[in-house]
Amino acid sequence: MRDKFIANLTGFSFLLVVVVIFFGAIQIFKGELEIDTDLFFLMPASDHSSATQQLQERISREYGHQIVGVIEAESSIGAEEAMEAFLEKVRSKGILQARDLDKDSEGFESLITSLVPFRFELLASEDRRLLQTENHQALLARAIKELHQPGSSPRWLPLADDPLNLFSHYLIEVLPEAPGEVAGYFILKEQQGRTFAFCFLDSGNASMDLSSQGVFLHYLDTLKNEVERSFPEVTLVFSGLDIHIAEAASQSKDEVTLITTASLFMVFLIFFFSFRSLKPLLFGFLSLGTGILFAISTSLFLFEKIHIFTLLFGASLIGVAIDYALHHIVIIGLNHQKQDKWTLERGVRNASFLGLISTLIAYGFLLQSDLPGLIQIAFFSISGLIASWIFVSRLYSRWPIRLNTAPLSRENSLLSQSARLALKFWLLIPRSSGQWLALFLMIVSSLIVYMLSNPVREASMLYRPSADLLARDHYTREVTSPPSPNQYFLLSGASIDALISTESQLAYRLDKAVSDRNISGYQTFFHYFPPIDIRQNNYLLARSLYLGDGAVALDLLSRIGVKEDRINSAANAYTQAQLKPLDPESFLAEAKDQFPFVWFDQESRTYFSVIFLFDVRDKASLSKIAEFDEDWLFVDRVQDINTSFYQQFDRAILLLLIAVPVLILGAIFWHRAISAAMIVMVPVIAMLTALSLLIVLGYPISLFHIFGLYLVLGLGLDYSFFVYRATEQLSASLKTIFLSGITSSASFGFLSFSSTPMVSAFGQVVFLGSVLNVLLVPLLVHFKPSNAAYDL
Amino acid sequence: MITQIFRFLTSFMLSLLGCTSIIAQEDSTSSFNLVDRLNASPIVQGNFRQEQLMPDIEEPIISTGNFIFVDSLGIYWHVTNPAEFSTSFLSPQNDFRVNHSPQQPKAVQRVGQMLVSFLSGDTKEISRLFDMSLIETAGSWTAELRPKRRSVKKHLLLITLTGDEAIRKIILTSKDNNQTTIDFSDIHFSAGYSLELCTNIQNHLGLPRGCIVTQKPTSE
Repeated sequence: MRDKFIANLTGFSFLLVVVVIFFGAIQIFKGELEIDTDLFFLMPASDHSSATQQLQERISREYGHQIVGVIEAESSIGAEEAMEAFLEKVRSKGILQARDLDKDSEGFESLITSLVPFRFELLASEDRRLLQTENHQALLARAIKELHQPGSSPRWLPLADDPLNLFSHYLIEVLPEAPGEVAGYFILKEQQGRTFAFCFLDSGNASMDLSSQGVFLHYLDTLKNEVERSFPEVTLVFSGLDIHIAEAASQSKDEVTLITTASLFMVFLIFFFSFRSLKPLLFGFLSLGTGILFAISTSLFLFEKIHIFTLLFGASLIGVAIDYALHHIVIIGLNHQKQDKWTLERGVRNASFLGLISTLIAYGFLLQSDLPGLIQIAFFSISGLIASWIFVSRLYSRWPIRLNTAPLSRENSLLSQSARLALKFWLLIPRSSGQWLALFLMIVSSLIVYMLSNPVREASMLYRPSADLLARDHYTREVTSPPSPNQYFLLSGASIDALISTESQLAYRLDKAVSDRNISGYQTFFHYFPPIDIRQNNYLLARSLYLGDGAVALDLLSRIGVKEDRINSAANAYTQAQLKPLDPESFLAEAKDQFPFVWFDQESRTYFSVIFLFDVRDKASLSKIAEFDEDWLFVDRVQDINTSFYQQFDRAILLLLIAVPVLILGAIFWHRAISAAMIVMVPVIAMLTALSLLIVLGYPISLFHIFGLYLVLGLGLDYSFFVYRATEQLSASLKTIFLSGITSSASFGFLSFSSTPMVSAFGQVVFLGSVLNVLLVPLLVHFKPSNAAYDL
Repeated sequence: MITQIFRFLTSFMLSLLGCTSIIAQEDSTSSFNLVDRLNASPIVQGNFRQEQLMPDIEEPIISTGNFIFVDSLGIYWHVTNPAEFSTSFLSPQNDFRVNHSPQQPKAVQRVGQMLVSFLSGDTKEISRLFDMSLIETAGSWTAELRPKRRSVKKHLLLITLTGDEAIRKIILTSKDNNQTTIDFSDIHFSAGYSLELCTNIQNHLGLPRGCIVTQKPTSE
């Protein structure tokens, strides 16, 4: 009855797997399989409020796909000619679009123009000071001097509208210094005796679409070579987040292909040399295919996009998923003559089910991490393994494989002898010696791990760009001087005026930070708008310029010979301005395109703005500044990510330390024997030894090494179950374990060569752990239940 | 990235501010060389008269004064009427720093650098930013400079230079019907540095090698 229930359950599950794969295949066929390459996939979610997340989305939206192109030349003419030629090539290909800096300025120009009616409320600090001290003579003298400058002083407004040129003074004060000379689609800048021309290119989806990333990178290289060939005296450098993404994705894509191919080839070789028959090979590959397709289909349904790193980890799953087919093929195939079919199948199925559970638990630990990417990786792996197990459990009985003549069936074959090597070693040693040796190994490994480990708890373990890319980033930053993307102040206020007020208070402290050289500068978006009390005061101060006897501005106009109607207009403009003072909220509503980093959050009913910082040198001092006001938040994304990794690292170790004793108790309880504790201890010793070996070899230990330990534990438990519970099938179990160990080691061994630090860390520890599991698990024969007879 | 946008906007803004009265600079594809037509003497002195015509003003705004141009140093511009003040614009290769208070806005500096380019005949820099055409008559020439940059074209129509062995007149015509004319007169050239010259320029342009002055430069 129980067997029938299990048969029905696996049958139903298998049907479900087939249906899911079918619908998944339809989606793939329709081209809806999207491979995500966004590096932020790996980053933990921000611990700050949704405001910082909203800000990150805005930054990504505004500048996410921008690439900076920098040309360095000896002269302005050289730089300009080369840049013009470069942009011409860019336009002709159409893959990249150069940002029209003139067009961008038109929106900004209209913003400034819309401030004109409120000009009486906006004064430069020097003008305000002169008005406050009623030093009209100084104002007048300066205005006259400006009027008679060679070519006349620059004015935003005509003379009749702004006789003393105060609005221009205000704009000069609030506008940040230009990075250079704007020339349409690029900017020219002199720096340290060299001339640089730089432009901003929008890559659109070219860099995000996996199929075109390789082409995209090649295109950039081609552009560079063409320009430098035509203009030998210039150098052209590109940098930008999209280039990082494209390089990382391109590399990962190559690695996925390599690891998948290598793993499959290894499986093929193992099956070939072990079985010399097509049937086991076909069965094994079908189980793998089912697992992978099911994993892709379910991930598509759940996540819509599958990340390239998920596929990279998924490629290593080949070495794990094949275990279920191997268990059935080897154990049943070699022992079918010794036991009845159903007993054998039930035994293998139950044991492999326990193995599946232990591996699922291992991957399940990744689900608790704060990294969205790891959750997808874990889900992908879990669903793939489940589907492989269901396929094997359901279909093996309909596809029985006999290994009577396979090389593996011969005890004197190389494979069989290799599979027994570790066992021979452990059998040579008396049980007590074996216990002591295991204990010694555990203690030494523990000591090494405890005393010598060099943990890395930083974001650099997720992704490490090439040295060349880092150098290019540094170079373009030196030229274009962008604000820091990872450190900034986030301000909040109940109204725009509250925001302006809080910003002006923070600006006071930031001025000190500049003079203390903690930052080289900062950029505010509300620098245009003084707080309301100052605006009102400015208006009153300007009164003496436009109203009453001796109105300074009007007198000047009269002296110059401006027509009387225009003089009256100037006075009326002042009077009219009082009726409609500047309302920053209405202004922002109309000018929101020019202020993408000032926004109103509907949910919290709060206004937010950002103060960007330049050349952040002392983050601690900036963090202290934020303590002065609860509406000031200093965001340090790098530190946030590192803090998150610290927490996850500690949490992962803690979970492991809790899991081990729980598993030990579970094993003891399940098997009703103290010796069953060794089922867990053997993989624990493998874990510790693997970790200590890495430490001795000089590898810093990262969070992903710890995550890998879970899998070492899971795989080791799988082997331990088979050895501990095996009786007549011990020999076959050892062969299975040996073959499983090779496949797992191979897959994760290839993974350890990945250029992505987190992937290689995971691969390193699981590779070593798998090898050690295979070498250590035969020790369990000394701890099998005393009444268990086993056949070697 | 944000700065890049903002700063470019600033630069554009400042160029707009400069444009109502200034010389827009654009790249020129002209083949003529102004330097060949100007007197090679490194020092040019003279008087100027600046006249500004604006739509709202019936009479032009007039200022007069004198100037000293020293090649590789820059221009010393001294207004004497209707108010007296002086300013200077340094050549790019002159690293002398004068403590002006208040410091010249960037747009004003660009104006000055344009003047330096014109007076030195540096067509390379001029041609980078303007399309240039030249009309020569017996003993004199007229050059027309039309801005190349879109942002400048919106405000500045044309710069006209007239001269012979020196620039005699500069006319800036902008789109809002403003016109500024600078007439140079009493121009004389010299190669050597007199004490009076050195005294005049030491606080504004720095001291060239040929000058020996006993007093240290003072800040304004």
